[in-house]
Amino acid sequence: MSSATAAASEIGERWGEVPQPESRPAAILKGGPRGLEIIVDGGAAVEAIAAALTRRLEEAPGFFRGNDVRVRVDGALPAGCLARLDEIATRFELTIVEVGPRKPASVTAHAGPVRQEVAEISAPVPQPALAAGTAPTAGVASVERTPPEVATEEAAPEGAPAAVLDAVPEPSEIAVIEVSSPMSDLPSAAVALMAAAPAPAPDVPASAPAPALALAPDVPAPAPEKTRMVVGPVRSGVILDHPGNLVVVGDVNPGAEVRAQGNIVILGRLRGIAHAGIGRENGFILALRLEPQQLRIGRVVARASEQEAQGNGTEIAHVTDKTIVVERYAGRLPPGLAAGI
Amino acid sequence: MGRAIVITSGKGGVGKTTATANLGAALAQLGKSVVLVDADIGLRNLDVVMGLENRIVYHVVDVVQGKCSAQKALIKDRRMENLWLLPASQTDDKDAVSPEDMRKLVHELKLSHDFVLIDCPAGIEQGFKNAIAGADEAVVVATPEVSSIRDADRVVGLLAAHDLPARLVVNRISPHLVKRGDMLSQADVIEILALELLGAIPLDEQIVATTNKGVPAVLDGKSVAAKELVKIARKLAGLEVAETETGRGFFARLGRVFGLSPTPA
Repeated sequence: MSSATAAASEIGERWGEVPQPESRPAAILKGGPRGLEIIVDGGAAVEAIAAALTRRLEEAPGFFRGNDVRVRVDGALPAGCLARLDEIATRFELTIVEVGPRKPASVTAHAGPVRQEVAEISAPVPQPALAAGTAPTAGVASVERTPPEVATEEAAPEGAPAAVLDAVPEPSEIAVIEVSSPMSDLPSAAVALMAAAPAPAPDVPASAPAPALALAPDVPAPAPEKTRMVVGPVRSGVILDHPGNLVVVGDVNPGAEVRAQGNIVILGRLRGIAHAGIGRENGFILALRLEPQQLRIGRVVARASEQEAQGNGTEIAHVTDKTIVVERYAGRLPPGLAAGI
Repeated sequence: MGRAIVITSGKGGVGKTTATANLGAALAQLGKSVVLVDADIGLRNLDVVMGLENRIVYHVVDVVQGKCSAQKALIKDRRMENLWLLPASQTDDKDAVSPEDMRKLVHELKLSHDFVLIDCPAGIEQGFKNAIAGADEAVVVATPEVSSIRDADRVVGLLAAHDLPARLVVNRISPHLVKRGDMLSQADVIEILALELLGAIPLDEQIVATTNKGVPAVLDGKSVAAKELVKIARKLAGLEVAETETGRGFFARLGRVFGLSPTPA
């Protein structure tokens, strides 16, 4: 590890813009092309790894809930670490589906390019509770690792523009790729997995069989929250917040806000703000009369344009291609929404 | 035991003080014993609108601090038999009294009068909390303007949280402007606020004159606003309200359909 650290500082000096972390973080969260990953520094102590991971998950606990996660280790997992990771995952309602090494590059340490691994999650709307600790508020698209995983002495992958450096939220996200060392103390099942499937290059299609190793089969799926029904009118200045679906029998007045992690149905006029799908990125808002100040689903926000004619009749708003779309509702949900209920 | 009614709005300048003065005077004209309480400490106006500002010796803060009895602080109206004013202090501010103080004071006044009308200050802070503390019911005054309705909606929510039943008075409505589309109609206001309507007071130049002179308009009783205020007072007192002013002709009825003529509530 020490050579890696030395290499990191050398490269850092060359870049000039990279703030030097004093030590590598024991564990970080990363959103990659294949989903959420926990990157573990195998050289760190188990407790340090556990603490670092817990800290990052606590920054936005609801954000990650319900996700599958892959553990990627730099080096070897220390003894007992996997059990701790499992425990933490259960606590935050994550499911560890895979454990494996960091993508091995044939890059040798001293010349290894510094990869910026910016979280893939782009946030068009900053939401303090959800976005903490993850993506920068400017929507930055994920930086794909450049195809040559086998990049040699090329200094920086051209695909990592300097501008991305500014967008990196944590200096600790910068890591040096190095060849993984044999992992001897992992549970045999994980070792077998890695022996059988050497870590593929990133452009292998997702259908490549990577056996989903559920290391915590006893964790039950989180119980779906109940639907709450509230009698309106919801007056100006009132905020309703509910973890499940929310039904308002009556109006939501301007200046009022109704929020739900699930879907929102308003049996009246929606004139205030409705925010559905918090933490889930999908959901719908249905109202007998949709005349809102703003509509929000997940992290997408829309406001009625001044010129747009207000429709008559029941309407439903949902997200397609990161935009909010409003349609007449005649008794059927648009495709894809029923599954989320 | 009398009834304590707080006249509130959220928004400032929509006509609470004028309404309090006139409703009080109208109720007194109906033979009720009425006390008007000015809860707008620091910015008192009820005394001016009633024309009694030169007669103030003691005020609400004096009573709350025990310097004098409530009875001593009451100012009898110069025109009407059974109408009194408990003025606010102009030199203190709203932190000078607490909701509990107001509750006790209003309760004491209720024991010997039929109606205690509390003129609430604008806002939703300490002054508002003080004013609603002693009340049994609320009259929310709103003008047909978006900002006023928005604030009134907020206030209604707060009143509901305090379990205070509220009814609505729409003030300064102009059928002419409604027709032009420049003003929200009475129906628009009710649609958002969803309150029982006590009355809709028309925009009336005479109100300006009478408030400046310190003479409640209902004493003369001739202006359109005054007539509506008297109707509202009658409703508050639980009396029957005649439909005569609204007009029964065809055009009047047509006007009602379009929200132009005052609708009989």
